[in-house]
Amino acid sequence: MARKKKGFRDPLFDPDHRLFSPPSAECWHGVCLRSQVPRGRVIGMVHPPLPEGMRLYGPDDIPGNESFQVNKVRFPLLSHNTVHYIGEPLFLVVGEAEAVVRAFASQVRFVVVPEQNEPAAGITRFLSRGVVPENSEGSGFRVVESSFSSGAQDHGRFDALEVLAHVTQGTVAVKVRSQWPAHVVSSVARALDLDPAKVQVLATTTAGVTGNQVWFPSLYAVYAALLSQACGKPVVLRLTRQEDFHVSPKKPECKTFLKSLVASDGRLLSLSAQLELQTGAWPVMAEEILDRALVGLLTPYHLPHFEVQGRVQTSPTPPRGPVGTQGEGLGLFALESHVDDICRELDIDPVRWRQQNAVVVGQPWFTGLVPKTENPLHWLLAETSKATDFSRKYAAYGLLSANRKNLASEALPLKGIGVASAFQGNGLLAGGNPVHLEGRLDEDGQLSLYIPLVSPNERQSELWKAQAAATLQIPQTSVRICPVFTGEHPTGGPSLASRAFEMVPRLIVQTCEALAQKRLKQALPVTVKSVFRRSKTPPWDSEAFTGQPFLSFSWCSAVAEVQVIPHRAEVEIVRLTLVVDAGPRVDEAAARNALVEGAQMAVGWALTEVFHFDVSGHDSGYHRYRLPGPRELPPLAILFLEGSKELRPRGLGNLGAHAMAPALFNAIRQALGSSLPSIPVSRKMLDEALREPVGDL
Amino acid sequence: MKVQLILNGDDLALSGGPRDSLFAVLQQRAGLFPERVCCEQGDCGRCHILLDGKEVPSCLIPFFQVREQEVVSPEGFQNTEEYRQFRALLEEEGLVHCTECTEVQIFHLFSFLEQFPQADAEECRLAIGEIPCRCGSKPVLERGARRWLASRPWPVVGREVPRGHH
Repeated sequence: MARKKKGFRDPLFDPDHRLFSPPSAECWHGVCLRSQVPRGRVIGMVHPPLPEGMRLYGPDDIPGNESFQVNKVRFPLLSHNTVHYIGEPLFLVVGEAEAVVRAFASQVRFVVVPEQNEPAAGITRFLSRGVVPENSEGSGFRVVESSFSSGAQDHGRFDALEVLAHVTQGTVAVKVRSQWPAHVVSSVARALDLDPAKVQVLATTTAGVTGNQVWFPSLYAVYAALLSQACGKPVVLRLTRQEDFHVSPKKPECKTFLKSLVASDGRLLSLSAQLELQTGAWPVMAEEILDRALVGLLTPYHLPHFEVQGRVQTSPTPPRGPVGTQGEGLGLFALESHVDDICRELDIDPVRWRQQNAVVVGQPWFTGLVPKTENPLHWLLAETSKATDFSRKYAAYGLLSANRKNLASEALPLKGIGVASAFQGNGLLAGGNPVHLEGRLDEDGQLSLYIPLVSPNERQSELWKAQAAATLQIPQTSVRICPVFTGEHPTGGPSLASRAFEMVPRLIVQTCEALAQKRLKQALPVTVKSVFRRSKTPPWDSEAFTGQPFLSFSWCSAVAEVQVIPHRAEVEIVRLTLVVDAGPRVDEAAARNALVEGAQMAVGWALTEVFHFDVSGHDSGYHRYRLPGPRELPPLAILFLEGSKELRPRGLGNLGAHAMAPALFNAIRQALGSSLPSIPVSRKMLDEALREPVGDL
Repeated sequence: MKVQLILNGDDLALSGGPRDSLFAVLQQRAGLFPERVCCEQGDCGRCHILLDGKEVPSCLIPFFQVREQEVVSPEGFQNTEEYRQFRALLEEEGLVHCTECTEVQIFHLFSFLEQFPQADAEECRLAIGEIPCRCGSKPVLERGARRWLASRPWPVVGREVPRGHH
């Protein structure tokens, strides 16, 4: 039973109430009518006669604010007459039978006059420290240049978005799978012109990969609520998997140019880089992603001088989002691939180069702060090299590659090995909403925890329970993690970047310790509220790139061993190894699961997955988009090390994704003995590399 | 059109259109596969059922074809003792529940192991890979499948090759 809180606003707002689970026969169904062209001015809509009972809903019907807002970015909920991207919702339609509504929607055509729109304002960053020399080649110095690009990656979840909204007597109940329920509340309240207290959201369990669960569900919750208000029925708005695939946020495409000045002994003297992100029609969360990508470029190695430019580009395609990485992975991919180019140019072992240039205690970091604890990269790389016999294999495969005459006619597989190091920044750069937690200990000894972040899985909830039970010294069965329901929970979110892992356990301990003291002094029930506060380290300044960017860092290094089969122009992954330092493991099985998930994401990004935003609207590659299958995914060897002095468990969900993609890319390039320009490494790209004359490699 | 069938052990008649897939009818009329979206191409595994003991994608089965046949859905399988035992074994191996695929994977893997009790590790790996998902549970499922097979006596029949078993 949900608790009935003193001053609880409305008895309807009970997560067990039928408002959140109306009989399916009572629900009406909503469908978005989308633009079929990427840009232009809408001058009309052609549709068959509207079946009886069905209702069309346009931008003029919105009672409240007509724009949707995520942080600083705003865009129209339903555009009045301008098309900004292909697939943009322009109208909504609602009716009783889903099949009839979908049949009607499939026949609607918008009449659009092609027109160039004013592009949305982009975001730029320019950072520099010291003086980057123009060109100092010669006299013992080398200049190394690389350019890379990476494609858009889908979240790859099959369960497409589904929202239930029920507007009745001026109150709104929404049930949705969202990692940011507080944002759903504010978005619905703005659009319907209601007091946010009248909107309650029941957030259902989310799946691990972010992307379509951050801001995206809020937008469709607004649509469902608008339709429910218009028709007076509970409305289900369910995207088809294909629709979800076309319009849900993807990992942004990224283009990078890097230029380094290195001494002949391998010391990195300066780095200049340009990084450009493609974020679709609206740069939603692009600032966070861009800043994280730049932090990814600047963090691992000591840079006496650097000059970095970051830019966000908009285009008439659906907005992107954080998928599989919050952004660091984009910068790390470019940096780690560039490092491999440097090593090849100087003929240095890549592990030794990384160890030589990793930031050490006493050297200032790019933010100007001097790290007080040792960077674990040095010994992580040493352990990785030892576990995989990296240095010997790297030298051997390099020799084989140098002696090849004609790649395409090679009968034997071309072997390659690649290494990369990576980190994960835990906590949002911009901070997000503060995370509060409320605990209530009842007369019967039951502890109810109200955590505003959605637990990623049942095991995580069990860990939270165990932690609370141990702190309060009560049986674990007496602890209840209440379903995330904004009617009862404090505001918080989004549940990104290990907030659920980094902040919640600390808050649970803090809350339970306070409860333990309070229960001795006052009669039960007792309630304690806690709020997460950042430590007193200098706050992050995203303009100047100074201060402490994250709550904590987790580190890893990865090695990929591959074979390129010349006659099939195919990559076979032989072995993947990941060595991780993320503090003590609270749940080893869950940690391994998260690392495997990340590594799979990286394999897909590097080899098989790319989403083409075809502005003609005819082909999005839905049926060709392929998650890596069992043949591309060999067992992943994981080694946990706990060498750093940071004793708290830290987030590790993105480490596999951050490190494995550049490791794989470097391994493939070593096998081919050539530079490849981009990922995913398609069969066509391999075929072209194999046909290149060996002398040009 | 009404079709008589045995669904999860119950004799019943379901109505549907002549062009409806079995998946659509099971979802809309029988309340099975709640909130599940299927690729409707037979690729995603989210709609698999046992049709007269054989695992098939229900999105590619015309509804009218199941007349007088026995259908077992993942929901029906979850009520069996085998499911509880198999799930318990996977949890011992460290299964982390994935909201998208765990139930589908357990159903698929169990029916594969029943059909091919002499499958080797590589064949189990390929079978698990037939259900695409982002989650990291595949190594756990592989270990679980091997343990399950090791704990069962081998049948005396000749060894079948599981490739393309659908």
